[in-house]
Amino acid sequence: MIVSILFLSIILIILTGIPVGIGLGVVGLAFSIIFEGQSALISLPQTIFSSNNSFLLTAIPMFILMSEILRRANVTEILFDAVTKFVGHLPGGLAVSTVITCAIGASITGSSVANAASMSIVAAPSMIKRGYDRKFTYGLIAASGTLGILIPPSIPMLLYASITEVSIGKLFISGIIPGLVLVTLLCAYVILKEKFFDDSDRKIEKATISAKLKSLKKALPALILPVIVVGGIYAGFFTPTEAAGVGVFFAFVLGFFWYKTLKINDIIPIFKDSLHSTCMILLLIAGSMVLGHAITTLQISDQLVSMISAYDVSKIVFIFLIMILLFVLGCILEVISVIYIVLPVLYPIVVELGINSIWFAIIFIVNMEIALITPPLGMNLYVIGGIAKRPISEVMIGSVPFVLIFLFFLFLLILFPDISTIFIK
Amino acid sequence: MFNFLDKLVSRFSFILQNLAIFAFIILTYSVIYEVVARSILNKPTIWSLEIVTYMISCVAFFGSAYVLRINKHLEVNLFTNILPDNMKFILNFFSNLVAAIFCFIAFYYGCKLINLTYILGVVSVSELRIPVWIPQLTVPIGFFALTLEFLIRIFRIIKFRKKSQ
Repeated sequence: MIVSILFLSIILIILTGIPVGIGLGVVGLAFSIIFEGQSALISLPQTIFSSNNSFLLTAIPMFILMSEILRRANVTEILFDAVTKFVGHLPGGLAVSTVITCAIGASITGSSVANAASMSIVAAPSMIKRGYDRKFTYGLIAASGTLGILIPPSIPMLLYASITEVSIGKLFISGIIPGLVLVTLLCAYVILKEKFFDDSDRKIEKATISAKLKSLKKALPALILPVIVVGGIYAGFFTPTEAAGVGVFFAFVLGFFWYKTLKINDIIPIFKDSLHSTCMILLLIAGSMVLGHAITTLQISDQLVSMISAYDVSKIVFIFLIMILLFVLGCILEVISVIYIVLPVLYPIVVELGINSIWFAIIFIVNMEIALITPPLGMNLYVIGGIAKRPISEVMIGSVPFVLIFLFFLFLLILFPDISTIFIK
Repeated sequence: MFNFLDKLVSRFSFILQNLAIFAFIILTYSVIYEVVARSILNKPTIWSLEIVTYMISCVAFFGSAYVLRINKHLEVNLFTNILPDNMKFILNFFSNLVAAIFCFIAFYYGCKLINLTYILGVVSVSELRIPVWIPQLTVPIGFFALTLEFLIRIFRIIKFRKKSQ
């Protein structure tokens, strides 16, 4: 009963248009006051202060900063050009190139929205010029952009790790194989569609070996960056925060000295834009910690665990129920909000049922990728619609086949957990 | 009168944002310096970890008010956008009022917390032994600025409502 009231209160208050972080805090504080009395008010500032007092969370501004530096340094354009030289001659060459560049972009940014935004600037005009259907182009970029949160580094994975205390190194490394499988599925769809259902001739001439090598040489430093960051964390050389710090340093070096696309005047705007995205996430974390305090005090997770045990719900039924819940919540809430609302309540049940937390994290993240391209609140749809200055319905229609591919992929991951856990075994 | 208050609050949020940017730069420098000190110079610092955690509080709470002003906080406007103007006004008014009250509570009890830690002379457990009330100040200052920004939003909603009538 109390769980339903809590969830309902959260959804209702968020739908009023209040900033989500504050909304979570309000509900958390209200429940704490009802059940704890005035002491809830006294502990409020301490809870808020401790919320961001974590070294792991420092990785978030660092990854945001890294991605902002690379975005301003036009690295996506360099990568797209290099990838097109290698795969442009294939059927659906530019579309394949878009998927692969998104995957590489995902390995240097932790956010899907940033990934989709850069690609809609760089790839969409070239694809449309080559005769690709607008809806297909926007749908493809929206879908491929979501690789940003699956392929490491990933900000949602960092948040997942900070809530569940799962090893972030293991989580990052576990995103690689599912990411590659998804890239393969997307490329296969694009190639098959072009070969069997599209007659237009838009093949790009095969690039010469010297042109390929030249573009590879240019893109190589940007390609080394994810190896240093993710490899460094997994090998134990750096903590995630330190790895992100190295990434920031490397990104500055690339922008200022290698590509020379950044100027000294860019530094403050880079920090300013990164600050805005960081504050948005950190305020949400602060609010969710206030809510988390209420959840712990009311022992809501314990009640849910006993309920699940009493009904003898099997693992697979639980997973399917959660996937449906996440899909629905993903339609009306933003990814980070879903993580902070659902995870603190449900994670104890995941542990209780003996579900592999890394596997659960990956299917959770893939579900959130779907959320990013499903209306009415698929962020990638809005970002692409906004940048392309096209009606949002165009992007939504274009995303439909990709939502189906993602659902198939999610089903694959549930059926074959080894895809996500092979590295950690 | 409203325009004057709006400008004043905007100035305050802007100054806090600049402090947050400064804290962000220190945070970045500290993280990178620690990697160099530990991995290359083999001399890890005693201050980096602590400074970084304090700076992230500055970034989070000092920057939030300005981010609210430019509407960059996560808000779900899906439902409010389809409502008739009257309902939209009521919902906007109350959501901002509730937010302002929450932020004021965080500010008020934040001041009380600081008073307590100051009187007790609590210092950090690390070797730097920094008085804890200093980093804790970020909470009341940040939430005071947020309270002001939410009040400005409420005034703006009322003003817009009067104009449209």
